[in-house]
Amino acid sequence: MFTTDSYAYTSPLKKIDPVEKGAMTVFSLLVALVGPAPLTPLLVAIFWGALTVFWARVSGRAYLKLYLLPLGFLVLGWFSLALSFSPLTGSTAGYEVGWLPAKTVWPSLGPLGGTLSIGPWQLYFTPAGLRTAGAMTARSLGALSCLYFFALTTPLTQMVGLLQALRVPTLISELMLLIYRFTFVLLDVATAIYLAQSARNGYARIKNGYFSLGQLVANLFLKAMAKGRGVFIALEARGYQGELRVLPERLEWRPARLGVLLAADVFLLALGWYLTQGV
Amino acid sequence: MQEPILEALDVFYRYPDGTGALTGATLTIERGQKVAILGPNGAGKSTLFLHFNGLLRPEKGQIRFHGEVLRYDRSSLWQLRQRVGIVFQDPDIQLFSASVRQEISFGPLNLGLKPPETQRRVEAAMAATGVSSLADRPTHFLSHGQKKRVAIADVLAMEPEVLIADEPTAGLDPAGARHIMDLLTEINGRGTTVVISTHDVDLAYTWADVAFVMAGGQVIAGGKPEEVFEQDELLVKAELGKPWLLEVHQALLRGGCSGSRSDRPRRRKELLEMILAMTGR
Repeated sequence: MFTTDSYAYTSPLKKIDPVEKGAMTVFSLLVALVGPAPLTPLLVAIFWGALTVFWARVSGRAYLKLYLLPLGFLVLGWFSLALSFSPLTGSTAGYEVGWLPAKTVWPSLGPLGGTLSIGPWQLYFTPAGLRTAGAMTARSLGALSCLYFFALTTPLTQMVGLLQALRVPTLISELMLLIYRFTFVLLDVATAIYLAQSARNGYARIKNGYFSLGQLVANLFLKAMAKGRGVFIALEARGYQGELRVLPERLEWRPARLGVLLAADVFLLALGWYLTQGV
Repeated sequence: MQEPILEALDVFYRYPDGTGALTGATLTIERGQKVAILGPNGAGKSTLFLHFNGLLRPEKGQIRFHGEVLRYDRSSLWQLRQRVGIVFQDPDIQLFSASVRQEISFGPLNLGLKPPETQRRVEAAMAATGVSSLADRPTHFLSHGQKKRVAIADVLAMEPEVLIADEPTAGLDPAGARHIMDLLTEINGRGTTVVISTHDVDLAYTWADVAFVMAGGQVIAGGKPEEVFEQDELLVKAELGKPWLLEVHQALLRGGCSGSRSDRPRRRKELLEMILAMTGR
């Protein structure tokens, strides 16, 4: 999970102003969402995927692995959009579970054109459903590729800087920063407690596993409180005045680069349109 | 030279849960010294440190900085904290920021310094602590030793007159500990008074100009390390061992080697030369 974070910190694109990267991401996202599906979003996915792998030098394997995360949602979403179901009509109502390989309903769908009947219900694909499902999948992939590009090249501190540039209240941006920082502290503490418990067979059986987990969570909370107090004291020792001010990072902002990438997006949009019209 | 910079006068402090952490602690730290405060866990070392920076307020007694009693209003504390800096024992508690450079810039910016001056101090502090190459790294990717260095750089960037480090070598391997102590010596060489707490008697004996021993919330002894560590009863009371240099030296004298009791070795090298002189005779 935290590998995404280390990619962002070691990214060769780290120095690019997050505003620039944010603009690229949002614009490509829009292209992927409004362009003619499925072609344009797929082109966007390929283009930004390639940029992430070759320009931002994220290993291709790791990059593809990241898509496993939303894959479950995509598959579920695809089925719920592609499949239709309706009550079984009179004459065929005798079946308990049956398969009608009928080319009668949607011959154009080939082997997918059949109907599965379960009791009084029947399940089947429709061309419209398949189209919607395909478009949805393509748009999701396109949008994911843009967001992954941003997430894999932008350290969280810069995202916070971006939020501040967008005039999000400091309370929220500072909370984000601290939550981010302490996620790692908590993770360390949780790992240490877990190991200490396991060393004494705390998770040897399911029953005491539950008990140990409860203890872990409760102690994690107490330790988090203690750490929080400690942090506040340490901040005060350095003259904390209620605002976490730090030096901004040196970032590069190149309108030309942004222009080229936006133009590429427009090209993908136009290409998608042209090819879709042609079909 | 003999000019008190920080003083604790009969300080009492009790934590909210009722444990009495300080029960009449008194000590004087002179300007420009390297000071080590020794004592078992719970002796009150950390609590005393928090008093020096105005983070805790004595229930009874006084803390003085440059001879003046501390005041606890906002602006006095703000001024005090730019002149007395604390490096906390656990760097995970101290480091909050995601990048090293930003982390170190927090203190100077709180002092109201402008970004160019902050930048200069941050770079200087990173160079002094040897973390310049880590400037853009997130603090949670650092090793424990690196975190300790960044924690020291944090305070160094504020250019304090007194740098207080709570157990600066805890959790470090011997080489890491030696580097940190060399760094503190260097900082002291530039005129900063350095105060540390430690359990390591050998380290304190060799490094410090002055050693204080705390036990049960009080300062029970203080002075030159070779004099403090001569007092066996005191060491027993404070549950401290004797520095091995002193122990070997005493054994040599007891064993009939010639040499004076007052001529105590402070470093490994001094002791070795002494032994060579005795045997070569």
